[in-house]
Amino acid sequence: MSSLYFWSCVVVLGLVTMYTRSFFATIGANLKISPTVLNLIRYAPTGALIAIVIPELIFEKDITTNLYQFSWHSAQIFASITTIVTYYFSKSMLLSTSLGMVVLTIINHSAINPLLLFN
Amino acid sequence: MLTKIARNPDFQSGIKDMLGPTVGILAWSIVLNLAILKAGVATLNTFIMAFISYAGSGQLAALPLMHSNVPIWIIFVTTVVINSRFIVYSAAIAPIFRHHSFFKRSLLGYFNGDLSFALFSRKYPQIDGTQHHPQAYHYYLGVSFMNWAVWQVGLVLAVIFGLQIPTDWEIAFAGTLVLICLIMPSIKSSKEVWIALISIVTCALTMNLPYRLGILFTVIVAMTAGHFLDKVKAANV
Repeated sequence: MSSLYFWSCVVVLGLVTMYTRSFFATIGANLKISPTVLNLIRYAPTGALIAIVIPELIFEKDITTNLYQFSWHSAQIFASITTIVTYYFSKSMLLSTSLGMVVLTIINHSAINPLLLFN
Repeated sequence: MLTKIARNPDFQSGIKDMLGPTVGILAWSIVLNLAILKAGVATLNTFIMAFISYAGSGQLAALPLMHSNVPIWIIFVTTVVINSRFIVYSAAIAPIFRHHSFFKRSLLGYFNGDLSFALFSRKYPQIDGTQHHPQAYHYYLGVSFMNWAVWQVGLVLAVIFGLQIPTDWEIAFAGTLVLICLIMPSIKSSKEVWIALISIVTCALTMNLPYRLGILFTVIVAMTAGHFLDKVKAANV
């Protein structure tokens, strides 16, 4: 990797960041988007966030094939449940993520596997 | 001009709304930037790269390609695909940028991120393109700037504490937990429960597509599902 190549890549990445994230405001400013589609973009973040979260929750990346496989990780599941319940009652993101991380750490670093209780 | 923006109440409320997800962004930034440092990029270059590229997962995906010296156009195509969901987001924020110069619109786009957009679209779900939107504009500046600043702080922490951070401690999971908190308020009605369930199934089916294309797929399916559920609701009324 020459330094010219490295910096060219960095600049290309920067331009991609800029012009994908501003696409309909810059390069595609003259493209007309139908009001129906514009109205539907409010559902986009839910879809995107779910697609980012789910692989970390109930899937695991196989190191040899680099593909996600279904995996019932008790630590992740219980940490998420802790966060969901805490957030539902407290509405505090800081509190609920911290408690979730405490649960994750405890389960990962102890011999306790809560899922075994159900077997 | 900057002090005027800093004093704007909508800008400040954007900053404030971003305080909650801060832990998650920090955790993510530390883990991702550690991975970039471990990929053999010099510290100073990592800083400049985070500043210029600001691409998160795009940077991480590009690095192995850069190491094998692939042609730059392949890196371009790969990162465009990874960033494709932002093209969808940009349609929603375009109206608030309308009154600014091309350069300023480019810069405003650069600052957009997943978390800041989620907060923005929750506060301003529908922006009418015919009006001026100073509130939405300043709120956008607040959430995006905060997202960017916290990301850069994470990089500094990754550089300072890099070796002391145990790799078996899954701190990146804090980012996932923050996202769960962000998803929850958007699922209120039965329609939204359906959209969430459909998104989960789509994501499970498309997860192994290359270049994180599953995210774009899930976004499109979630929007389509929303469209049909809106129609069903309208037909029943």
